Amino acid sequence: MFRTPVLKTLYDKRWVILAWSLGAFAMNLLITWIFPDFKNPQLVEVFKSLPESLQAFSGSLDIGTIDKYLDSQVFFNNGSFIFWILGISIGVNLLSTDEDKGTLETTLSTKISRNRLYVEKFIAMTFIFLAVNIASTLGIWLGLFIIHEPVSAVRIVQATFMLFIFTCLLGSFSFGIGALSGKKNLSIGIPTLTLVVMFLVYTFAQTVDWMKNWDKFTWNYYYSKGQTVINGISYRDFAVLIAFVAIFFIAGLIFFNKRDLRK
Amino acid sequence: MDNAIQTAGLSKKYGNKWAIRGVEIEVPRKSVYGFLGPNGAGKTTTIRCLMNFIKPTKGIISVLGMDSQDDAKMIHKRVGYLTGEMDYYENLTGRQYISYMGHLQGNHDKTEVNKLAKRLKADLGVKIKTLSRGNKQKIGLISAFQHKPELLVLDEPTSGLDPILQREFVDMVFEHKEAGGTTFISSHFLMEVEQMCDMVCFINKGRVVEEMTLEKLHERSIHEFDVVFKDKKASKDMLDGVKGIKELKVSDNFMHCHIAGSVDGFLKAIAKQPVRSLRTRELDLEEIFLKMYGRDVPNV
Repeated sequence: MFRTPVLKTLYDKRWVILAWSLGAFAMNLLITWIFPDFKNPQLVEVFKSLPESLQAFSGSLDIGTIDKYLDSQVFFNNGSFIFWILGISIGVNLLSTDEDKGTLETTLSTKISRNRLYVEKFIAMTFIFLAVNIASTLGIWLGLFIIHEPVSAVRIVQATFMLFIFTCLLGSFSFGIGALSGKKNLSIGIPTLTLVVMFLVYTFAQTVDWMKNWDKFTWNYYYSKGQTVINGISYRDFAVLIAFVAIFFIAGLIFFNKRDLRK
Repeated sequence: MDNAIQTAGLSKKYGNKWAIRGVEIEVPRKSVYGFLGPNGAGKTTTIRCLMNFIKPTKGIISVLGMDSQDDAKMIHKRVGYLTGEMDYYENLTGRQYISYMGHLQGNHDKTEVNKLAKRLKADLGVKIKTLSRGNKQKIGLISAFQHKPELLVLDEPTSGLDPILQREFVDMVFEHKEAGGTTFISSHFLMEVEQMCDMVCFINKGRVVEEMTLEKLHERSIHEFDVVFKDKKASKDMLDGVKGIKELKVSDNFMHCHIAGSVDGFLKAIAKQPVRSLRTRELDLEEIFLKMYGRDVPNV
């Protein structure tokens, strides 16, 4: 039925994948579907009159056109809130939870190496993120089809790809800490704390003068500042996010090989 | 080096506390080796070092002639392992679990699995989480035996098994030995290992106390007897000439006695009088340590 850790993990997580995919699809469909209600010029003016700090927390409230709306209300919010949870929860689950239950040790009693198990679990994680991201994009496309709003398909794919990489970054951070420490609490706590701090720094940097350039120290900057739906993918931002994924992946792999398994 | 397992100065420290210290084990090939100690003695830590789940602080481990850390993958291919904690994927059925582990091991033989399942009367069709401890143990045993490994490393293997299946398990270990395999069994029950082991090693508080052959163990093992005589009052004189008496208490027609080594002389001596009841029990390892060594084993 399943012969490798990748297939086993995907089998274990089949209901999680289904639930997240349906949720992401429905959420994005709904958000896209209600866009016409936000096109009202008077409403746009009301949003624009709100304090900048409040606008920053929502990505941007300059949402009079569909591309700005999608960047702000779909991709910024997804990356900042919904896919945070996905990234961390899956990143924690695949290694740390197995270790907590002792099943990691059982698996490693076979001839499978720690390297292979780590890599396969990581691959399974990216498959899960990819599936949920694809479902979320389908929700956007269906919404756009219903409201007859033209948006470049390439831009949507690029924005989805950036969200996928961002989710991988969050997942690999959590996964890497789990591999490095073997402690479930740390692999939930440290990424959550980091992301909250980064989100606050990113949003305050939009309005607080002395924090003006601090946003460059956050991952949110490289994920959402470029507004991919409006401007297309920024390869520099993409490279930064991928570099962090690679760093966490490699650090986790090195430490996972060297450390004791916890019981 | 013709030992299946050999350790030299094996030590593991957690923080400031040594979990095991200076453990020296030599497990000859084609033997059944019992690794005995009370709970918390260091058995599982030693096994986890052997399996490369944890890295020793000091010392060398050779398994099947290979380095336990550098050659872990090659070693695991030739080892069947049973965890003492029953850490299985609870959401899988027994068949799914065994198939998965077999494929990871690179040698999943359905015929062999069915044969083992029939032998151990294991139901492989239900989810592991619904199984009793004994039935879970059967799944673990099938998984450990399925690829016909050269070396079996079994942590508390008969835990939860009923006496008939314990006998079946002993037969499986003997067959494995006859086929040229080696078995390393950890336990805190002396009786569990004494019926199948060629050698036993006692560990307590992280240190190896003594390694001995089964014959030597039998010579030094201690049995406790409570005897109630039918008519006659019990007296110490009844046991004149009986060897190995470690403890003797008599009152009225009741006798409480610990005998080290052969119990033949003791049984013959009491059989001279009509006996109403005879009760014997296995001393647990803590008691055995105290009786065998006359003291508790010092802390590491």
